[in-house]
Parts: sequence; structure tokens; C-alpha cells
Amino acid sequence: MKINSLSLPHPVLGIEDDVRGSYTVDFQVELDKEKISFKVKQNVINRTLKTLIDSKKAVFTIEVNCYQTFYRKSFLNSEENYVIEIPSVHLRNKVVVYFYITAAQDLPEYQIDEANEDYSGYKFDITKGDVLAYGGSTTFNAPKDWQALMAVTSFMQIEEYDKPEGPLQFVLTQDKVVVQMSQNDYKRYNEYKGAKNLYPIFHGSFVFAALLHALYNMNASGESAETDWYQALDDRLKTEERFKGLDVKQIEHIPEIAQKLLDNPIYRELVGIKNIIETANQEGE
Amino acid sequence: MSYQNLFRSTYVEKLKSNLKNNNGEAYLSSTFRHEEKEVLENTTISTEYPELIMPEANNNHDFENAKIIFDTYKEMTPVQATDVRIWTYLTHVTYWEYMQKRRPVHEQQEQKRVSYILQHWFIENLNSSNLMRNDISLLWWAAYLTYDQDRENPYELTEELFSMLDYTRHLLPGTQGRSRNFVQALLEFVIENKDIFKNYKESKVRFLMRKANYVSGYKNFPAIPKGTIKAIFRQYINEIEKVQNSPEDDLLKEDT
Repeated sequence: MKINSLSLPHPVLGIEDDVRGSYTVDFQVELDKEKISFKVKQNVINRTLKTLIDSKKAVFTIEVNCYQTFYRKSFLNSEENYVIEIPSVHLRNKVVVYFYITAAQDLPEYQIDEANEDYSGYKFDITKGDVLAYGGSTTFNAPKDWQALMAVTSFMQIEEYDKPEGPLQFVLTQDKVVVQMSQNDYKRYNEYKGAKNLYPIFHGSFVFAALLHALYNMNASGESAETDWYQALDDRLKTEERFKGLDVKQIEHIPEIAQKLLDNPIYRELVGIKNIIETANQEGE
Repeated sequence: MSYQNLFRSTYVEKLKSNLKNNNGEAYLSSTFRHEEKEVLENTTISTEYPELIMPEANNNHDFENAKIIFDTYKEMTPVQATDVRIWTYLTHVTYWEYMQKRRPVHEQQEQKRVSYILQHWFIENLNSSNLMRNDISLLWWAAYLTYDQDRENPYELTEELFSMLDYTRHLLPGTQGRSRNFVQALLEFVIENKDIFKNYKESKVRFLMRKANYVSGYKNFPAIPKGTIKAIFRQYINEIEKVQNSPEDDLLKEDT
């Protein structure tokens, strides 16, 4: 339900200059293995609506939409501050939340304080469910793998392809960014992947390259926009403080974004190489 | 009882790539050979891989098969049911023979073959429309959205849903269709007014949906109970009775 571009039959707070006043919502999301919680704080500045809510004739209405799981449900409450909990098995990836105040019952001859003069003298027959105020919308990402959001493995995996030798390839149409190695490279990688002192080398080489490729793809086209990795990265870029001022749509920002996501991979790679050399030297002495 | 198999995601990509390179030749065959090393097991989903009823010339048995699939996978969560790897495994392995009969590839024009197979054997981009196109995923999601355990026959609304292609092609993937409450109210309304919908049903339901979309501009449908939604539909009964097939609706009809 997108109403901000429509002109409704009756005056609605939050739509253009229909009604003076405000309806604002502070909305916070908490992800958990079992449930997704929304902490909602609402504030209405309009006498008519406040009176209707106090008398249970109107309700705060929070509509939650998830396009991948056929989820569309409204939560009604007359409290300004409350918590909504949804089992996490119902939401995946992009979730859109709309904020309304709706009529909890029919309201014949409805008039609202502070309505635009255009509505002066008019009365409206409101019926149950009609929107009386619109507080905007927000989106967030409900990752399938909520536990490992910060780990590289949450958005990237390494596989082999069916040729003995060949260049590294990247697949961006899957849930994770897939780094594909030739059979021999993959075999070599498997021999070393248990050695933790080599992780910075891996991060500074093919992981960094794959991430740059993925970020440039986010910049260039929307082909991967519905994948889990895209939405997980998009959500992190929008919500984490350290990405403030950086925009993946600006090509010059991408190298910095990639390095922040991998926590300075080049520095860590160089330090990693230094440590390996020093250890080898010590063993040789 | 065994656990649910699924393909590795890279194998799903490989199958798509092979499909495009070979113009779907493999899908003309009565058997499909997959690579066993590309199969994973989801140990949180148990299954007996039930047999489906084979489609016949005058009956696809979609409703009966939706019951079979949903009865088997009733405990599957919506997030699990968005796993494209499971549905791709089922169309290619468990229900290969069923798919051959349900979607006869050889009847398709050669230039449309690849997109036809991508739509019905795979889920290209994960969204509600494509979940309704994969023929096994469709059976689960259609039943999930319409199953009502409070009814004497919990599958009554599912049966109505499969009575007309328009419901699964246009109603369910749309904004209103994501609300189970709305979908069930609409299907109940059609069932409760059989006489009105006995002819021109497709056009009449489309008319009702157009009205509902208009009303949804100022009314929050998910905020109101089924009874109130049906009362809104009832306001249009006189207009619905006058609806006949429109050329615009005929244009929108698709293959079954």
C-alpha cells in the first residue's frame, strides 16, 4: 500500500498539506534466531486523532510486507510505544514497513481538527480500516543466515568449476557471491584453508577481488538486487556507522567500502606476509 | 522417512547454463541424469517424496497434487519454502516424469523453450511471481496461502483457487495476494456467491480486484477482518452481476 502519491477522499494527516500536525514513528529492529522484534515509538500531534485513539475508535496500524515470503500483515495497537514480535521463519531479505493510523470502527460525519481550508465544512463517512494518518515507511533486511552477518562466509562461498586449470570466476546470481576456482586451484586452496595465518592472504587476494566485483555490480545494475548477498550488503552499508558518507552508487567510493567490509585486507595481508617470513626466518636460525 | 534433498547452488547455476547452451535438449528426454555429488540434504525437513497424480488431457490435478505436497511439507516454514535449490531438485529429480507431462517441452516453439523451462523448472529471481511459476513450488505456496484449518474442509479455498488460472497468475503475486486474510476473503466470497460467479467468473473476479485495488488506496485491508472485506465486496454485487467477458481480459489470458 503506497499512499503518499494519492489524493485520498478524506483529509489524511501526513499526506501533503491535508492536515496540520504530525505523526512520527521511531522504529528499531532487533534480529534474533527465533524472532524479529520491532520497537515502535509513535507520536501524534493532532487533537482529533489523539481523542479517537484514546477512545479506541482509531488505532496505530503497522503493516509489514515481505515480497519473497508472501507476508503482508497489519499489527493494530492503541499504545504509542510497544513491541511487535514476528517469528523469523516468516521474513526473508527485504522487508517494507508502513505506518498508519486507521479507523477501528465506522466514523460517520468525520471531521478532523487542523484540516486544510479546502475541507472546511465537509464531513466524511469513514468506515473501518480507512487510513486517517500516514507516518511514512521504512525497509530493513531480514537475512536468512542471521547469525553470521559479520563474517565473510555470510555473503561469500568458494567452489570449484569443472576444468583442471583456468581463471578465477565469480557468480553473482546466487544467495552468496560464489568464487569459482579451477579444480587444481581449488585443491591447492583446500590444502591451505585450515591454516589460520593464511586467512589475511586469502582476504587480501581473491576475497577482496570478489568483493570489489560484487560491489561494482551493485553499482552497475539491478540484476542481483534480489539475492541475499546484495540485500545483506546493502543493509549493512545503509545502517552501519562506519559507512556513513559512502555510497556504493558512486564508483570512487567502492574500493574504500570493500576495504572497510573486510577490515583493511591489504594491511592485514602485508602484516600476514611479514609474520610468515619472520616465523620462517626464526625456524631457519 | 528421509530428509529433503536439494541441489548445490552452483549446480543450479550450471543447470541453467547448460539449458541455455543446449536450448533445452535435455528437457525433451524421459529421464534426467543429475550428479549425485551435487546433492545436499536438509536435515530439518523430513519427507517421503510422495507420488503426484499424473496430469491428464482434461485434468491437470493441480488441486489434488497441492494437497499431496502440502500434507507432506506442512511443517516447512515460509523461509524454507523460498529455497530455490529444493524446488529445483524436486522438478529435476523426484517429479521429472510429472513435469514432463505437466509441461510438455516438445509442444513449445523452439525459440521459447529456454524461457519456458526457466519459468517452470527453476526460480530465476526469488519473488512471489516466480514462486508461482515453478510447478512444485506453486503447489506448496498455493495451499499454504489458502489452507484454513478452521473450515470443515481445510482445503475448500485451495480447491477454489485452482478452479481458475487467474488466481495463481495475477491474484497471489499481487499486493493484495500477499495478505492471506484478503485471499481467503475473496475466495470465500466467490464460493458463497456461486450463482453470481457461475459464468464469466474470470472477468467478474478481475472486476472485483480492480475495485479492491481502488479501495486499498485509502483503506488498509490487512487491518480489517475477513467479514468486513466480504462486506466491501458485497457493495459491488449489482455491478458484478452485469460483468461479461471483456476483450481486455481475453488478452490477458495465458497458457494453462
